[in-house]
Amino acid sequence: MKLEYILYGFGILFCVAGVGYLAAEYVKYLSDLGKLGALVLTIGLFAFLGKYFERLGW
Amino acid sequence: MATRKHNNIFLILALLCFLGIVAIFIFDGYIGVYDTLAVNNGQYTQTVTPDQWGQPERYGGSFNAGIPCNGSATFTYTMENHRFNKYNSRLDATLVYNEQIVLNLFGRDISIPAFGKQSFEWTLSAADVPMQYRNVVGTIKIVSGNIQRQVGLNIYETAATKSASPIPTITITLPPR
Repeated sequence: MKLEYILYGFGILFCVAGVGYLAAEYVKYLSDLGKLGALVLTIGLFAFLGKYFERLGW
Repeated sequence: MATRKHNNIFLILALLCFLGIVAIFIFDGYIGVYDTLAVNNGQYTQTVTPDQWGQPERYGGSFNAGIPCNGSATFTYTMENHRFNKYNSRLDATLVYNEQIVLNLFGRDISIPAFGKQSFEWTLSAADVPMQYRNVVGTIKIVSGNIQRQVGLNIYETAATKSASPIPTITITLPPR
């Protein structure tokens, strides 16, 4: 059971690292307006996800 | 049931934000002015695409074209205006050696409509380039507004031109013993 959680942990870590790396690579080519829009939507994404999990009782 | 539905709204909003981010990346990548240069020297055509201009380090660092010393090359410069407004600017192409303009290849005010595409063509004949620049790498500079492109140019001798120019005969007279 513990091993499974460790593997989940690794999986999540690699996913976050991969998405982070790709985002950092692609953000370089975005215009300033695009960067601002993406930032606003990212904040919205995490805020709504937070609210969703809060409502679920996490 | 009502709470569950309410929770799903937040999840849907989060998903919409994610899709919005993806849409921004796609839209932002499409919007802009893109230029492609194709150099045809009669033997082969070399093309430099917008992606290659943007990331030269991935494609060897610099772009070069060659013209045989008895030939010429046709340069086709295509500009695509992926914007909502008209692109008005001046397009200049020059041949530069040692930071000095040797030839003006193209110079014109251009106007490309929104989401339009236009090609400009000019020809450079090796005979127009002064002899002292043969086998010396020069630069073709293309400037239009904020866009500045550089392509190396070499006017080279081919086997045919080498055999056409005879090897000079040197006569050495040895001193008498």
